[in-house]
Amino acid sequence: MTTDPKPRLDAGTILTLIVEVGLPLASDLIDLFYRAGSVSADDWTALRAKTRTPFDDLVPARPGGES
Amino acid sequence: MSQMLHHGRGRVSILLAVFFLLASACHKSPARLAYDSIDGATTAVQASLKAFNILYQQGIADEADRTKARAAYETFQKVAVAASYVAEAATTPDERAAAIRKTSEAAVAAISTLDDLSAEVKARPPTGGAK
Repeated sequence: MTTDPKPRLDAGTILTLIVEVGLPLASDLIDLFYRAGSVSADDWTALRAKTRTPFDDLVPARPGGES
Repeated sequence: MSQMLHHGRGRVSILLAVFFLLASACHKSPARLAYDSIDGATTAVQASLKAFNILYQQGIADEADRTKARAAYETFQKVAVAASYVAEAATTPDERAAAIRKTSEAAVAAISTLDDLSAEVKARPPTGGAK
């Protein structure tokens, strides 16, 4: 049984990034790097809401069509 | 000279930024893969259903067809919702892989049923438009 790999950035990469692109952009990119691999509880909830879209919303009954 | 250095530095910065964006897009975790797979399967099934809806709203498909489409969609829904709970709670890639497999199989079955239904409806002789 294997466990989930956790991608990490080493300190050297983070420092190089801060020096090269500046702290604000580096911060955004690092945040993006870590968020790309994770799924929050809100994401799962939103996915279930999408999956639970009622059939009648996607195929509404025609007027006088449903018996 | 300093302008050249500045120009070169800007290029390195852009290259680094692009590298990071690519790296972040490529290192999808099993959780993200499971999420994207279930999301993609749901989008595909709902797209098939929307295609069927056009036929139904035009009066080409009837209520019996709509009942079959509902059954296909609701079967998929049950599997996809269950798979999303499994994938969220999973601690190993194997568990998530199983959730992805179940969702994919359910999506293939639902899309196949909906596409066959739409093809069958289109092949029927016209009955005189919407009821």
